[in-house]
Amino acid sequence: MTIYALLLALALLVWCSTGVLRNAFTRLVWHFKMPFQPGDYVSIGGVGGRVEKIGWQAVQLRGTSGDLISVANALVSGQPVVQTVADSGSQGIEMHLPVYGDRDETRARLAAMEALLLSPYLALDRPFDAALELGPSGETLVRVRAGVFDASQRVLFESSIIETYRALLYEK
Amino acid sequence: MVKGELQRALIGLPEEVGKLADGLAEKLQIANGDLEEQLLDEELWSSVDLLQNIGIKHHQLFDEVADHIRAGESRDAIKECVREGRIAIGDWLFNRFKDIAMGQDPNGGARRAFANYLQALEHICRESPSAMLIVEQHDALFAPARGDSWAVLLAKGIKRPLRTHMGMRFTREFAPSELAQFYLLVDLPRHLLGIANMVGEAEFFLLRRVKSLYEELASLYNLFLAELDEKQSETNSEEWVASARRVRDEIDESFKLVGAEVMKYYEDIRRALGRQEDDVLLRWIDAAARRGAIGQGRRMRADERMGQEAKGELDLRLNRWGGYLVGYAGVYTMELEVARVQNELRHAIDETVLRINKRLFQRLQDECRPVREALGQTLEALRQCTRGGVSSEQVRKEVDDHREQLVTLCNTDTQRRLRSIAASGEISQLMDVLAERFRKLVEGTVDKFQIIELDDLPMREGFVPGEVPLKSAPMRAVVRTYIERELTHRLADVNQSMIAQVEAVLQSVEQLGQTVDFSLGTVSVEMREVGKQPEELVGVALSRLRRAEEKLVADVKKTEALNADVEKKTIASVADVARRLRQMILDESVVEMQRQINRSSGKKGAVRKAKPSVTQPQGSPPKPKEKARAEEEEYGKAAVLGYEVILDLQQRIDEKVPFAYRRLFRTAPLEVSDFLRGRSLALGAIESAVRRWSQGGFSAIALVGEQGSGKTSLINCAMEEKLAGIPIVRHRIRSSLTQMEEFVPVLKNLLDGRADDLETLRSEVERSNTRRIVILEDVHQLYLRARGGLDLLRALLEFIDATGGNVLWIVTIDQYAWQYLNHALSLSRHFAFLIETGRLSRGELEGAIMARHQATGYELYFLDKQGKRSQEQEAAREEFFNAMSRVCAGNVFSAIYYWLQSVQTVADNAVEIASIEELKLDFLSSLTVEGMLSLGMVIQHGSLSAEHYAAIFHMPLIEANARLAHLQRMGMVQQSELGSDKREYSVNPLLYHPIVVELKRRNIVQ
Repeated sequence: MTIYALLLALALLVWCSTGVLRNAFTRLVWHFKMPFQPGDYVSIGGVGGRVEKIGWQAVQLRGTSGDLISVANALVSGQPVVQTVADSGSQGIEMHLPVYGDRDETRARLAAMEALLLSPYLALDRPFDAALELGPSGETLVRVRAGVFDASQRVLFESSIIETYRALLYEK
Repeated sequence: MVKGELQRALIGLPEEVGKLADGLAEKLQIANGDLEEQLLDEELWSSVDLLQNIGIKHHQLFDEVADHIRAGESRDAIKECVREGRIAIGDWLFNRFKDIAMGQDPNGGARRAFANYLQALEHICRESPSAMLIVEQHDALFAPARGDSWAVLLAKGIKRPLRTHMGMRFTREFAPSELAQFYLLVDLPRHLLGIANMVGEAEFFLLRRVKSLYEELASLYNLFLAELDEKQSETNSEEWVASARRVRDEIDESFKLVGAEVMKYYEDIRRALGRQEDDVLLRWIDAAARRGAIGQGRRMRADERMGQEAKGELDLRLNRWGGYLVGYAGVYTMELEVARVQNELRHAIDETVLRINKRLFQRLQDECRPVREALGQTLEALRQCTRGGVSSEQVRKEVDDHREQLVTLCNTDTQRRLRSIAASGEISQLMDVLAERFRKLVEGTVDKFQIIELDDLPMREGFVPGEVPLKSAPMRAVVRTYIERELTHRLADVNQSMIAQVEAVLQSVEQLGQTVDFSLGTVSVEMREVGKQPEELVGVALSRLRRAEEKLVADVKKTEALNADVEKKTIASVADVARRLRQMILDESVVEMQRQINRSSGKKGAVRKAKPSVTQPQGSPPKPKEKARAEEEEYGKAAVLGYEVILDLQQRIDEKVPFAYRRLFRTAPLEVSDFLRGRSLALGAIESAVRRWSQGGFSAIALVGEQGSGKTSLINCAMEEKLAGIPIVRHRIRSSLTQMEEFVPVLKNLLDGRADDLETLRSEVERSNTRRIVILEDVHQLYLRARGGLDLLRALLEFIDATGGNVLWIVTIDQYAWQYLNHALSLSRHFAFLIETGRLSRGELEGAIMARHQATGYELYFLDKQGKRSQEQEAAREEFFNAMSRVCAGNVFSAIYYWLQSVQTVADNAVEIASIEELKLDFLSSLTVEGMLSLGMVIQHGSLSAEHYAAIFHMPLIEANARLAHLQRMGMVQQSELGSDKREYSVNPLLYHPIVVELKRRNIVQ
């Protein structure tokens, strides 16, 4: 009876610590080949941010709003990891701008391109473009792909594009 | 001799005591009389003397004014007489006050009078009988008295019947000299303190009255001057004389009042002195009446220490009043000294900057006049040619003659004279002359004034002075701070502005010469080679020349505006500095003055150090904890303000290197470009482009390079070597230009077009057979990274594409603007040749520096590390330029700075150059992203105004101003004024390269 009880407890312990062990094992594997370094900007699954710490159990990311996000190591190994920031510090962005009802689509695309070019935050070491595409409900969108020269300026970059885009679109 | 009260006190006393008292009273009276007389003569009289002199001078002045009026002199002459008189009285009073303010012994007269008085008292004491005097005890000494002990009462009780009933006689003995010493040398000086206070107070308040009387006088003079202005008649002498007399007499009442005040003070002092004399005699009689009797000691020794203390206190009291006198006179004298400094300053500016500026404008006009006259004659001659009756050959000859004359006048004679004006010692040495005037003005200013701040002045009668709150106001240092440092710095560019006026005219004359050469040359060539008739050609030439004349007139008007601007700005700067100087000296505390001096001299922790100098006695070392804290604060400050190393770089050089030398090291590109002749690749590319263009091919050239990499110098060199003989027009875009309506006139002028819009102008150039080279410099000024900011450049590129057949376009552009614009607008598509200037090599840097140096005519010596002239000059020079090349990374602006910074001495026609000291610019890496991005935008655009900055970053103007001002305070950007209300910021040329390196590291520029 005692042996059964011990075996049961052991099995329970093993089951409970599987995650812990998996996380530690993943870290051990990373010891030989690290997928990213502290300081890199990465996007793992749905979350992204600057890598603050790579621990034995989790990776800590600092989100763009300053939140600290922990992602279990085992989870990282099972997800695609996108390194969004180049060695130069620039970060790629992709955003969709609406084409407002009565506006000419070509004009919207050109306005988006102009807005992109004029933004002082634009990184010149990445390709950039603006193209039309259809949204989920069939509406026309302008997809903008470009890079911001410093990941910390991403919000300002996006904001400057939107401001200029709208102004260009509505100017006479 | 003894007055009633004293006689009453002597009733019943032995005759000997009465005699002694009588003698003492007599001597005291003489001593007091001497004191009164001496006080009046040596102390109070100085106020009376001031009053009398002012009164006499005032009367003399207005008698003189009345004489002038009677002599029928003009209103202006009379006014001038009053003004001069006022100044003379003011100067006289200023000197008297200055004597008091500077005096080491301000109320020495009073102190000497009291010292003499005390000596007289000592003399009286010495004359008193030193032997013991034995006198019979009088009745009062046997009566019981309050305070008698039981033993004294018992003794008196026994003695009384013995004396009354048995007729026994009791005597007592005492030493009169001892009594005199006690009462005259210890007791009386203590009671004299009040009198000394009255004397000090009288002197102080009378001095204040003298000052207010002078102010009253000055305002009366102003009223009189105003009254003169209001008078209708020009020569109604009787009426005017009556006015002058009224003014003369009006102030008499005030003089009388002040005179009465003086006498009242004197009378009060005299009475107080008399009272003290009586009191001390009464006390002496009282003591002499009892000394030696039962219960009273025989001896009465004066304590010498007490005597000395009493004298010391008397001296201290007078000394303190003296301090107040000095402090008050100091405040007033300082006020007058500030007015004097302000006047001197205005004179200095009038006699230097303003006079030279005015003369310059006259000379420029004198130079332009013959050019305009000659142009007018040419125009008239051309008009004659069109009227007919003149053969083609004659027309061609006429045209050739006029062309030659005008081109020689414009391009040779006038330009040579204008260049000699720009290089004249009057302009080039202006700053040195001004600095010398300022230095003399500063040296002539009183070093320090001992002052009392207004809050500390005694405001009521009966005030007893404590420790005098005298403060040392560092007048000369404040004046030096404001004038030598601030004003010199603000006027530093004044001769540059003058040179700019000359250059504007020079450029205009040069352009006129080019137009004449081109227009008349075209007429001559086309008549000779194509066989066209004069009628077909002269009209066009006339039109071009008329436009050129209009432009010359407009440019001269602009120069007039520039000249007026120099005058206006100079006057405004001087007035502002003078006002703030006055405000600082008269309204601020001594501590604030010290702070200002320290701030301006750029001492670290100066404010913290200034405070203890006022509140802490000198020589007391700070406690270890305080010291540690101060060091900690100092460290914290140094960490934050790491950019202090770059502040005032220019100012430091200005102070060290004379303008005459510095002038040739302006960051403007060199006219002489010999040092770039080694750039055969670049020059070869230009040559190929010209060849291709002459064969009809599109050959637009883009010359791309960092600021200070020699783009303009390369163009100068190419013009001399490869472009000679081809019609060339050249324009440099000096400030941001993003509006089409501003740019079209520039192009129109360059291309000699008539159209007012770009489209028509393009058609004109396309249709024209005229071929020319157009050099457009600093094209990066033609765009803005804000909405609509690329339109102008797009239009220009289209224009270049369209007109490339007739026009060889050569544009220069900053490397980082090129990188961006190439991404944004595919700039390189519009040019057939791309020439990158790269960085200057070590040899080119040396060439650029030495070309400038050689133009100065100074001998050159390199110093070794010990600061002595090196024996191996060639090796030292080699080492210096190696170090320069390493530190400057091929940037000529940086090289110029390091060269000037290394200048050790400039004297005896020789310049000594020390080793290069590299600036520590590590702080750049700690600048915020926002700051670096701002710098990146400024570099990409060449220069930015606050309005443009606000447009790029989508922010309010106020925020844009704040950000740029912050960068300016840090010394990272410099502000340049481009007109009355247009200001742009550009990166400090010295920091251009280090900033670019940091911008690249942060990926802001490529």
